[in-house]
Amino acid sequence: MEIIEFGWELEIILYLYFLELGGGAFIVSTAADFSGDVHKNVIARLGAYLALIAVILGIVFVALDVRRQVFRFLNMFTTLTSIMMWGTIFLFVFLPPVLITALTWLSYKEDKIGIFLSKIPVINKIVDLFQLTRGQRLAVEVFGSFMAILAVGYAGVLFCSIAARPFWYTQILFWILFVATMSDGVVGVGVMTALAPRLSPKSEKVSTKVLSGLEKIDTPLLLITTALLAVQLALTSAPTEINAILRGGLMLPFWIGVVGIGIVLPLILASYVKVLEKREAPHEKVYRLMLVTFSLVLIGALLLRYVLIVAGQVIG
Amino acid sequence: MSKNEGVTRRKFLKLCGLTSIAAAIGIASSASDVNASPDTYSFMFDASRCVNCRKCVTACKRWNNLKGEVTETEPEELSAETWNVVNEVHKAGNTYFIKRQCMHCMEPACVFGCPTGALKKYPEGPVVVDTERCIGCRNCVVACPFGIPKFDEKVGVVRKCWMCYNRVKSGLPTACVESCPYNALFFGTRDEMLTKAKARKNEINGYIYGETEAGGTGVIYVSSAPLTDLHLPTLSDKSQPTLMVDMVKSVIEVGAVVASAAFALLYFKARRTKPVEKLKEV
Repeated sequence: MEIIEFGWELEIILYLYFLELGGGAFIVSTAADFSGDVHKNVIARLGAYLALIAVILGIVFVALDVRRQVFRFLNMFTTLTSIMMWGTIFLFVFLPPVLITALTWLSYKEDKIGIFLSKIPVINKIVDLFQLTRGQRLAVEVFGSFMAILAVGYAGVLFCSIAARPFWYTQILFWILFVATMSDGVVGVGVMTALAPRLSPKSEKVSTKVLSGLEKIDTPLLLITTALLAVQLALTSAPTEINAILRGGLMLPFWIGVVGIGIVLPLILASYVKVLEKREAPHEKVYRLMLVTFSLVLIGALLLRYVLIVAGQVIG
Repeated sequence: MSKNEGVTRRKFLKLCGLTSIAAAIGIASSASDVNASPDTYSFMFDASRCVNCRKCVTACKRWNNLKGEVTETEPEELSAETWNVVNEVHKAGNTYFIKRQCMHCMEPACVFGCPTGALKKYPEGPVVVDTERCIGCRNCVVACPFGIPKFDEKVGVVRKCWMCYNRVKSGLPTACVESCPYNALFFGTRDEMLTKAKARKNEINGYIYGETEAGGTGVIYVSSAPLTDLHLPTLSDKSQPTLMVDMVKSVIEVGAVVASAAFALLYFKARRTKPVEKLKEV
């Protein structure tokens, strides 16, 4: 059994996961809004909601991680050389555009969430302040996406620059996390979109084409993540850590969680969805299958972070 | 597009660019501000003389008011309440005793990465945690190649050996050094310690650790066996902050190439894509 000396535990794994999910969802939301395609409107709106929820969850977990000293967070802005300090700045600057974008979409009251919140007078007043025009909204979204790239990029750099941890100290790790972030964003928005008919009073027509489009983007991202992961495991000079992943204590979460649930099963299901689409199967069936596929990728993504972060802390 | 909008976009892009550059420069700025001079205080530990009496462990606990008893076998590991230990290592039929404590590196990774400035390297040599500033992020715990800083769960801060800075400032040696009855532990300027270590190395035909490893450490080890065989990590001569900066630079370089390629791809794709059903105004 491996000896693991934990510096960073579950809270940091969840923080990383939600920050990257939020960042990815925001970028996907911006891209959908930027396209101007009316069919992608739902992706933009639900992506903005997901980004807000995920980023807030991320902040909650990082606050839980520092536990007793959370109120000393203002001390964070003192060391110019600290990657963590820059990450905190990026996260703080990323938060306002995420909040403004989500409030803007809520102010249009196009779904059950918006309508429900509008019934609470105080919230309704706040939300109504954010009725931005499309141009203003796009400006906020583009700035937010830039900050999202910096915030999720920081998370990758934070790990891959730690020279004391040979399994982390590789640029490939940065790219695994970055590509996985994009994949998380796509599938996260996919889950929300597949659930959209239940959220919308107009029983919003989420065409299978929109969901298929998301799946088409996610499949190559999954394949790139897999290839990068293979390179990381094959080329990184960290035999103890890699042994822990492939044959040791991390074997189950890696092979069953990351590879099985997060990569292989979704790819098989995605192929099956294509067959169903060709056969013109009922929309409801395709929706459900896509919801399962996207959800599996999200579970796999969480376990990917778990395996990568724990493996880096195996010391013998 | 109006002229005003163009200017705004340009300003926006400038701002984005400046933010990235500021961050990159901040992180990639050299670690020279934590460099220490050869006159800084250092330890020399002679493993060939240590008999594992553990007087250094007891003295450290007493001077620093740290909890926990010291017995013949305990404590085995460093913790928030144990800032130095002596480990027994068996190698090729021989038994070695290796003292473990903060290495007070010349360019410490913990200081470089600490977001709150709680960790500082003082001109005299010690790397000290200011527990009033520490936020408990544990960046130092994962960044230290020697696994020294330990998180105190009860208080939520990191604690470790501070080279008895209050004694050093008064011209006294550290508590552990003063307590060693077997001449296994010495304290003085780094140059003095290196000279002593090299002489001892020649005497026993042994090995030195800490002269160049991790850019040089504030604890110089001498032993009759290679120290990397005795549970000290194999490290390059580059300091940890230098290695960190190298990685950040390479990520930025590759990132710039990937971003340029992605923009070019999107641009050409956008030119070839048919117009979609546009939103009028939401």
